[in-house]
Amino acid sequence: LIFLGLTPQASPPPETLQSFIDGELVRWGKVVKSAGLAGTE
Amino acid sequence: MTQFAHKELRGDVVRRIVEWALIVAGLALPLAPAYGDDYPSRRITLIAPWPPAGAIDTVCRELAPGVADLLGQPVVVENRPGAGSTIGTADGAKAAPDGYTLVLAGSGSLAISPTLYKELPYDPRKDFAPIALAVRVPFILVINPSLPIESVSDLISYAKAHPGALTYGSGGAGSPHQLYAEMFKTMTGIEMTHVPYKGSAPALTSRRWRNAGCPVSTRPAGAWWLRRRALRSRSWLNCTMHSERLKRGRRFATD
Repeated sequence: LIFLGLTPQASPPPETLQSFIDGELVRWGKVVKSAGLAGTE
Repeated sequence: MTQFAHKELRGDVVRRIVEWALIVAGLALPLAPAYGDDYPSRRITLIAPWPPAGAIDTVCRELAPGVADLLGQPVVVENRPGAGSTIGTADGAKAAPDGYTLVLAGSGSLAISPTLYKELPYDPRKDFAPIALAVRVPFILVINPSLPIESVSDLISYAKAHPGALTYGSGGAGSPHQLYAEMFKTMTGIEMTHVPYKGSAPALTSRRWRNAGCPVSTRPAGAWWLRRRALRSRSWLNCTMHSERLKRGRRFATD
């Protein structure tokens, strides 16, 4: 995977991943809204 | 199209132009996963919600043999692309909650699409049980080498001199590819017409963009073309593009 240019992750425990998703939803939600793309699809 | 409102937000966005991919299992009703003591006793399906030859497909096919060895059961990769990866992700959400259907979902379907789409057939917070953060996927901006473009500043100048002439290929509506290209347009003030595909690989193999296009691609999907000089890369979107360089029009690191 590294040879292909990808970055494998040492994953945090599953029980902490939900908060990771929550954080990314907020972060990318701001980006989509700032780009004027919210609700366009 | 509104401008990115806050410099801080813009900087944060640019630093994070890396898609992540997460292995998740569907939590279709009932909510409690029905794992038996003998799990797994049959084959496991790993949904790649992108087409073959792209980054997520590659990761799935690299992971599947190792997971199969670990669990003692075959792991079969199924490509279910479409709608910016939301179709395959939705299939995972609807699957029986028995641990036999997994999805390698990314930031597109789990974090971008919920705001982009008016309606989604799944809830990223409620319909999945996250298992592992697998990989981060860098994106690159690639350019048809027949175009007189040697740098990102050339690209910006060309687009401004030829308004409406450039297109960009993406992995579909709601894909990270589209969002990164839209960010690039907003930050530079250029216009490029969006041409959606089901993933990086179909975008790169299409002839539609070759006259005047610059697909945004995942690194693995673009690598084959770059090695054969069928594409030119002037931007590692994830690590070299930032707003100050864009303002100054400096050349970015090349592939």
